[in-house]
Amino acid sequence: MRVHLMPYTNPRFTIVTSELEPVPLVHTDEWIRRRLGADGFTSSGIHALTTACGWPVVVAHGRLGGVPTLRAYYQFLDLGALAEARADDAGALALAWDVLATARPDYTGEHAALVQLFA
Amino acid sequence: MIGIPNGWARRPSGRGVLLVPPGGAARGGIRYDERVTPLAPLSALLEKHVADDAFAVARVGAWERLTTLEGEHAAVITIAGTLDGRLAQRDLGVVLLDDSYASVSGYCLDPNAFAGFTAMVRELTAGDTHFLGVRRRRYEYDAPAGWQARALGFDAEWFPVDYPRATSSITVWAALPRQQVSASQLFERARTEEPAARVYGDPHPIMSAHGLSGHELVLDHARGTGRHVVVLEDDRFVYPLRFETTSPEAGADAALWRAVVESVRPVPRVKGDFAPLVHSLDHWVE
Repeated sequence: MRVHLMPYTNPRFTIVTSELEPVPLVHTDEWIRRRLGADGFTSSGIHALTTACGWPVVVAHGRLGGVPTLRAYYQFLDLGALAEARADDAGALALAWDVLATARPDYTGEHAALVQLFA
Repeated sequence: MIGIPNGWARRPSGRGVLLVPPGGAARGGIRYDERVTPLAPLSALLEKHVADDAFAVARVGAWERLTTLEGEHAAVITIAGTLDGRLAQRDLGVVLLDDSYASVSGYCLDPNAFAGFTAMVRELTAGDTHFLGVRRRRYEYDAPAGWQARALGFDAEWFPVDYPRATSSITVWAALPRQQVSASQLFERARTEEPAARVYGDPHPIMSAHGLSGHELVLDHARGTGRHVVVLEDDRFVYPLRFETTSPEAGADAALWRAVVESVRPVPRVKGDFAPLVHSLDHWVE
């Protein structure tokens, strides 16, 4: 299970996403902040937004190793995922957000029904 | 568990069993493994079991669906190819269980025996037994087109790809043994878990296109969420499903829901007693 994003070809930014992971039921906000702040990422601001489909996402802007970076933590019901966009400049990060905002869960690989096992 | 065909030899092989035909392993063999994980789609199992550097695949047949003596879902397939430049054939049978599968994997190097190996793998697969008994079972239905599913244990939760903007969802629970759970209990639970819901009359009759009949209960939550609960039944199981939407009359989603309900197939039945299907099987082995 992973995050599905709109395909993009813009070379001014790169995006990596994590696999979907369980989000704890308690202290969820603190946990998300820790995920956003991993690897020494310091942000200048954190915002609670929603994706184009309406999924809640917490977005943090900052720098990682001197590179303009945007991190987004999505909550897809009880699952979550971290996405990181890196760019040469803040303008490119804004373009990256247009892609990040298209996120939705992709349950490919789930075998929830017999019809999927017979595929 | 599979039987040993008359005249064949049984050899332990790893955690499974290797059946060797009369004439020895130079003619081929059939390997049986059970409780294999992870359970995966047939296409992935085929890839896993036929991955063999020495066997060159020439033609992959079509999967044939089966149900076993015990009413478990199964399938078999034949793959033609060559081994070291000589004609060879693989046959694979798989029995899909709750969280694992059993495989019957044949390797035939004698072109005169290809048809016999195919028949043997098919019969061993159809006669494979696990004695899992009456239990919670997944059942077959058609996926709502364009939606994706999450597995929740035995259950499936289907969402449109643009969920939650599109707020419909379909939950398909496992079939439950009717001796232990009744449709009326499930409807009562649906009513009581949403005490604020307005119930639109008594459950009304509904049918699947595959011989199952049951009832549908329609609830309307105070927040405007529509909820439909269907419980289909046969003499062995109840088959519960649920549709939720913010717009109970949302045409396209409601049509998908109807299609899912109509497509529900009964859990396959046990085929009589467990006397061996293949008369050539003279005893049983684990």
